[in-house]
Amino acid sequence: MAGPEPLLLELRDVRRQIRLGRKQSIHPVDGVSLTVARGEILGLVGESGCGKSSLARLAAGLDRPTAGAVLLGGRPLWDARDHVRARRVQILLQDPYSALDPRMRVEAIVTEGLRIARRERSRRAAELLAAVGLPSGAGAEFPHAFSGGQRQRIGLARALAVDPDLLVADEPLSALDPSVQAQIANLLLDLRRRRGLGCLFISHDLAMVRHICDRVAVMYQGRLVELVPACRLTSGALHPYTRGLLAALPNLDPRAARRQPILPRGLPLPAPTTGCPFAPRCPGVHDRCRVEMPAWREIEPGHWSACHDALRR
Amino acid sequence: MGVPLEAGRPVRSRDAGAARRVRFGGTAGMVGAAILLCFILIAVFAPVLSPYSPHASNFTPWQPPSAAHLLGTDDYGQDVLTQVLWGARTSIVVGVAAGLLASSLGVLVGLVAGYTGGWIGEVLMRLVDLLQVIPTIVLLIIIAAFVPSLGLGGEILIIGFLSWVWMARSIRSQVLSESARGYVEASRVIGMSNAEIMFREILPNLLPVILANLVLVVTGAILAEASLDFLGIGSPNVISWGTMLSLAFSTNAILYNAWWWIAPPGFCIATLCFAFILIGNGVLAMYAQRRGSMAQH
Repeated sequence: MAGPEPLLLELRDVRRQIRLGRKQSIHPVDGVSLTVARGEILGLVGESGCGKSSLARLAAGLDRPTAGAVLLGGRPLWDARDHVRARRVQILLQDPYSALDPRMRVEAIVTEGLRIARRERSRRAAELLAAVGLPSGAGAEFPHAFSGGQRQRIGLARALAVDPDLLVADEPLSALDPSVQAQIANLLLDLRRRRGLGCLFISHDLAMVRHICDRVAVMYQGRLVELVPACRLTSGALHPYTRGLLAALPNLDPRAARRQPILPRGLPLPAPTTGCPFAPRCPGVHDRCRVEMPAWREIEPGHWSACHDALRR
Repeated sequence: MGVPLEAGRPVRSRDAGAARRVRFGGTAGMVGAAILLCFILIAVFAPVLSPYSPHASNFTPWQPPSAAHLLGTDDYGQDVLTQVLWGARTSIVVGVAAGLLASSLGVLVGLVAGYTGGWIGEVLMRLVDLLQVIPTIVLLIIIAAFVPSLGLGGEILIIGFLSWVWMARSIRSQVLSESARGYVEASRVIGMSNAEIMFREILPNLLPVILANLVLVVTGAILAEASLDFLGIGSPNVISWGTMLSLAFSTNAILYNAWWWIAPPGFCIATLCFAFILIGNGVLAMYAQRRGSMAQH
């Protein structure tokens, strides 16, 4: 690779605070630093409520971070006048059924981001629909005529219409059948190859993440606990939380013993104020974990982890 | 490009066909629409249908129904049937105009309050709260004490400005639920302005709710118009059902047992309102069925 790839998205210690009352507040995103390179697919995994979607909203400019900076191509996503520089980032949503306005024709939906003449629209819509593998005739229909996978393709066509650099995909596959999931995943890979589209890909599905992502970020209670090249995810995971997620994957071989027990259930709320946030659930917890927050360190090239024991493994 | 296609053609499920077959709110809605149509025809063709001139007052007063005067005559020697037919014009014009005025205000306030939220929404909703606790009819009586006569335009304005609050409330709650849907966020990300999102994306999805509320607002406006005329605040020169009732009341028609003067305008007010309520329920039922079948996709 010649020279450093230009960074597409850069999150610098972003936080999002939500006030619940006069004194209470929660931090769905609590100091996350992350980068996505041009043409890279970065996976983001973690259990429900860990802040994945909140992070996605920050990356897409739907929410403004309470602290920290979101940079897009080196420039702040939010300008001085509080306006978001839209359109360079597009989103692909989890629920394909509510993602499309039921009262608009597909043609109007996919071209709504474009300021073009009415005559141009149907031609452009047909191109966009073809790019995501839908027939040109689909433009004249309303969304209710399409299946979940087809709607997800329409949502993708709408996002591609403005020729974005980055796609924030918040669990785009979880509402779809496995066979359709594979089709949409391949479509994303195809778009990355042809257009250099970068993608922040949120998922619960570790197997899918391993398949399509370049790197995988693991999130726990608003923080990153591990950032690992996708090829090293299964064999080289260092953080006990990542290993716990992997252990929860069903094994097809009934005779194989589990290498590690599935994590104990439940989120201890509120999170411990000192020490590692994962300590209450960690199988390898020791005294140091309860008092000292582990540092976010690069353990081996390209592999980061926030665990005191990461180096010992 | 190696992307396999899942069924290339749009899938049309059986539910979609069923949704299209849903009639306009079933029988009740159709009956309501039919009654309304009758009243509209009466209003439009009042000059043709009425047996006498609306200003002719040279008949014998207090006549019960007869062949010459199907609904008798009133205290002033006017033909009651003629008055009833011409009265339909006032009720429908004032009802619909005031209803449209109130609905436009309500939709605008509801949309802005629901979508923008924040302090703007807060201020708007407090204003709605404030207007909601003012008893309309009492306010009308107070206005009546100061203003000698309103005229048709004045009536429309007053009724319109006093009846948009309910509309604003229900529109706002619907906007809140629509705003949480993915397509609104996708539109924001794609760079549409707030005004575009409100009027091009959300507004069309509110149409059923607006329509259902519109007929209720119109019903309220028809009743309010009749009340205004009955209280003598309306325009005394304009023939309306409310004015008829008012005159019948002030000349003690009930003591003279002149039911033919009292019953027809009362019946017309009630029936017209009933028609609008039937239509409103029909629209809501149609909307519910559509939503139901859409949710299954």
